[in-house]
Amino acid sequence: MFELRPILSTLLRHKSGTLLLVLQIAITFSVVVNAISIIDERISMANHKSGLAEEQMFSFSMWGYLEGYDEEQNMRADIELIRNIPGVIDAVHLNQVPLSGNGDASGFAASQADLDNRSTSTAGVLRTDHHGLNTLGVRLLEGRNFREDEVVSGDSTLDANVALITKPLADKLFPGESALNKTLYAGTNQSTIIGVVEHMVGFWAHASFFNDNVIYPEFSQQRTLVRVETGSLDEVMGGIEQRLLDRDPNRVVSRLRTMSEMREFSYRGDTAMVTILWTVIVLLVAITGLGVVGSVSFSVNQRIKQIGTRRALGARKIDIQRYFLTENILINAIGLSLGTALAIGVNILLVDSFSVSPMNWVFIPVGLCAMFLLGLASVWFPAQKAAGISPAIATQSI
Amino acid sequence: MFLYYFKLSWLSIKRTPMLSLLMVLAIGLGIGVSMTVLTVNYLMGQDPIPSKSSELYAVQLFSYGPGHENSNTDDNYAPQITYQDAMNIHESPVPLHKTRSVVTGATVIPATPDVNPWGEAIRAIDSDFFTMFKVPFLFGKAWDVSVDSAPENVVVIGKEINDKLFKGENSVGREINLDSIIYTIVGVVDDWNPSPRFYDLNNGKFTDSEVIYAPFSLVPVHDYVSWGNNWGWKTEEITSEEEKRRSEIFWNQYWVELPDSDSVEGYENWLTGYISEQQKLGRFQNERAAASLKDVLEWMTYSEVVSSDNSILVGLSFMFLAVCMINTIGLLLAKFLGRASEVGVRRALGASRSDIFKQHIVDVSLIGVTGGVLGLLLGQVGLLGVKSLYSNYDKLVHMDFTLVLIAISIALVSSVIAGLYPAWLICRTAPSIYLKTQ
Repeated sequence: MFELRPILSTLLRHKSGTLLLVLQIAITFSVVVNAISIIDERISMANHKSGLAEEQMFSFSMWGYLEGYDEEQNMRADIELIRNIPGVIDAVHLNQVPLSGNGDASGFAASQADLDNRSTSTAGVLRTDHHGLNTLGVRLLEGRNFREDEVVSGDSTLDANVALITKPLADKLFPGESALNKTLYAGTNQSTIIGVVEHMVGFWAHASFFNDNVIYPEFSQQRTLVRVETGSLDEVMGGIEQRLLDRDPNRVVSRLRTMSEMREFSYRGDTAMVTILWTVIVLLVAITGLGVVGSVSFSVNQRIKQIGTRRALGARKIDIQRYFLTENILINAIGLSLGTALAIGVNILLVDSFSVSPMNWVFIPVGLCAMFLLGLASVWFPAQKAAGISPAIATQSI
Repeated sequence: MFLYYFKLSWLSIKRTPMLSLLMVLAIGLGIGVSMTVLTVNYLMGQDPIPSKSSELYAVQLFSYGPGHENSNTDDNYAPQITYQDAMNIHESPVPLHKTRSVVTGATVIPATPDVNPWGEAIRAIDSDFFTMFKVPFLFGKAWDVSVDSAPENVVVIGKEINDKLFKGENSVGREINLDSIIYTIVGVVDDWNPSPRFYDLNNGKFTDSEVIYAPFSLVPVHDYVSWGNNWGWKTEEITSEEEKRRSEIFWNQYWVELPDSDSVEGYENWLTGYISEQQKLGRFQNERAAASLKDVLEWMTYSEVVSSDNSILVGLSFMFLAVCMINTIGLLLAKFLGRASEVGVRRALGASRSDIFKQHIVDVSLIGVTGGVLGLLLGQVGLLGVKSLYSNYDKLVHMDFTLVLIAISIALVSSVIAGLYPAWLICRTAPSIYLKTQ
C-alpha cells in the first residue's frame, strides 16, 4: 500500500546517506528541545512579578562631601523636598533597592532555640521608614504598617523592635499559622512581626530567597527611592538632581536609575541566553531543513530514469510524490525516536552538571510534531519536482 | 598535480552550485556559531597573567566558629578573610611579595570648578601589589614600602583619572582631594584592565579595574568602608568601622607571591602555625580550621569565572557544529556518488585510487576553507550580537590571532574529516560498472 518494501530496500542500499540524515535529525531534535526548555525556564524567571509598583519608580544615591555635612538633617530635608515635587506619590530613604543586585541578607528564626541551632531561613533585609510600603507599592496582607514613632535612627537593625515580613518567609518560619505578633529572631535582635506583606521581591534576582524578605523600621541613608504618578517618571527623574543640588550644591548624586532599568539589568544574562538559544534553534532548523531539501533533490535527480519508468508503467503523480514523502516519514520517524532518547540524555546531563531544571515533558511531543512537519515541508518541494518528471524520459536514453 | 586537482574541484563546484553553496553555508554557520561561543568562553577563562599565574596565590582561612561554614563555595571556605587576619598574616616573612586588599571609595573633589565631584572606587593595597600583578606605570612608581606600615596620604592614580584631572600630564607630586582629604600622587598607572579581574573576583568578575590605589595602611586611619562584599557568621554587635575591623566579618582579600614549591610549603607551615596560635586565643574553633592557597587559574575556576550558561552554550554549539558536519557529509556523499560515472572513466583511463582520493580531498578542502572564512565573518557578526546582549562583555568579544587560527583549523580539519568517508567510498568505485551502464 505505502510501498514500504521498495522504500526500505532503497534506504538499505544507501545506508550511509540514510544514517547521516537520521543522525542529523536526532541531534537537531535533542538540541532544539533542550534549548526550548532552557528558554522557557529563563523567560518565566525574567517575568517574575516583583510585587512592586515598578513602572512608577526610580532610585538614586546621594551624599555630601564637605566635612561636617549633617547627613541626617539633610536627608530629612531632601525627602521633604522630593515628596512635594508635583507628580511624586511618595519617596523614602532605604538601605538598598529591591532588584538592584546590591543588598543585605541575614538568617532568621522563629525561636531562640532555632537560632542557636542555626536552623535559620536566609532572607533579604530592607531598612526603611513608615513611608516605605507606600513608596514600594506593596500590599499588606495582615497587620499594619510601621508608626512614625517606631522608626529608629542609625544603620544598625539591632535597635528595631518591630518588623514586617513577606508571606513566603512567614510560611517558612511559621507554617500553618499566622505570623502576626510572633517574635522574629535574627542575631541579637528580637522583633515583633506587626504585618505580613503579600509579595515583595528582594535584592538578588537569582537568589534562592528572592521572595523572602524582612523590613525593619529604620531611617537608612544609602539609597533614595521615589514613586511617581504614571506618566511623570521622565519629568520628575530628569529634574531631580538639579532640585537637590539647588538646595545644597556640595553633593554628589549617582546611580540615578529607573526600576525598569534595574529589572532589565538583573535579568540581562537570562534574556541574552534566550536570544542566543533562539538564534541557534533557527539556524539549526534551517540547516537541517536545507540539508533534507538538498539530499532529496539529489536523490530525485539520480532516479530520474527510474521515476520516468514507473510513470510510464502506470504510476500516477501522486504515487511518486507519496513515495518520497513516505521515505522521508520513515527517516524522520527513526531520527526522531533516536532524537527523543538523545534529548532526554542531554537533559539529564544538563540537570546534573549545570543546575538547569528538568525539562517539561510537554516539549517532547510538541517538538516531535514540529520537527515532523518541518521534515514534510522540506521534502515537499523535491517530491513535487519528482512527480513532475515526464514518463517520456523512460524511453530516452541518457 | 595539485593545481590540476584544484581546477577539477573548481569545475565540480561550478557544476553543482546549489549543493556547493549549501555545504559552504553549513560549514560557515557551524564554525560561526561555535567560534562565537568559544571566543567568549576562551576569553573568559584565559590566563590574565600568564608569566606568573602559578606563582600568585589567593589566601583563604577557615576561621569560622564550630558548626559554621560557607555553603556557596566548593570547599566551604569563605572567599575573603577578616581584617584582623589580613593584618596578622601580613607579618609572615615567607612570601616574596604580599598584599592585603580591599575595595573602598570616595568622592573625588577636583580643584577646578569645571569638573563636578564624583564618586570613585579605590583599591586599598600594599606597595607589593604593583610588582606582583605587573601593573605598568606611566609616571612615577608605587609608594615606598615603609608607607605600608607607617601610613601616609599618598595615592597612585590611573591614566583615565590623570587625563580627566591633569590633562594627561605627569601628575606625580601633585595633589588630589578625596573626601576632603588631600593625598599626594606618587604614580600614574598606564591602562591596566585585566580580564577577568582576577585579583578580586568577589566584587565583579569582568568589571573594570579601579583607577585610584591607596595604601592599605590608611584603612584604620581614615576608616575606609568596604565598597565590596561583607559576610559574617558570628553574632556580633558592630556599630563602627573600628568594631568591624576587630570582628569576624570577611571583607578583605590577601594575595602572596610564592616563586617555588619550597616557599609554598614554607608558607603553608607558617599559616598552620598561625592558626594554632590563634586557636590558643579562642579563634579558629571550627574542626576544619585550616588555610587554603589557590593560584590564579585555580582561583578563577573556584570563583566560577566561566558561567554555567557558557559551558552549556559551548556544548550546544559543538552539537550544532556536528549537525552542520553531518549535513556536509550527506551532501558530499550525494555529490561524489553523483559523479561516480566520471570517476569510472578516469579510473579506466589509468587514474589510481589515490589520485581519485586526493582529488576529492582537495575538493572538500576548498569547500572547507571557503566555509571557514565565511564562518569567521559570521563569528564576528555573532560577537557583535553577543556584545549587544550583555552589558560587561566589551572585553570579551574580540578575536585574536590564535582564535582565527583555531577557527580556520576547525573548519579545515572537520571538513576534511567530513570528506574522508565519501572520498574513500568513491575511490573504491569499480570502473567497469559505470562504463557498462553507458
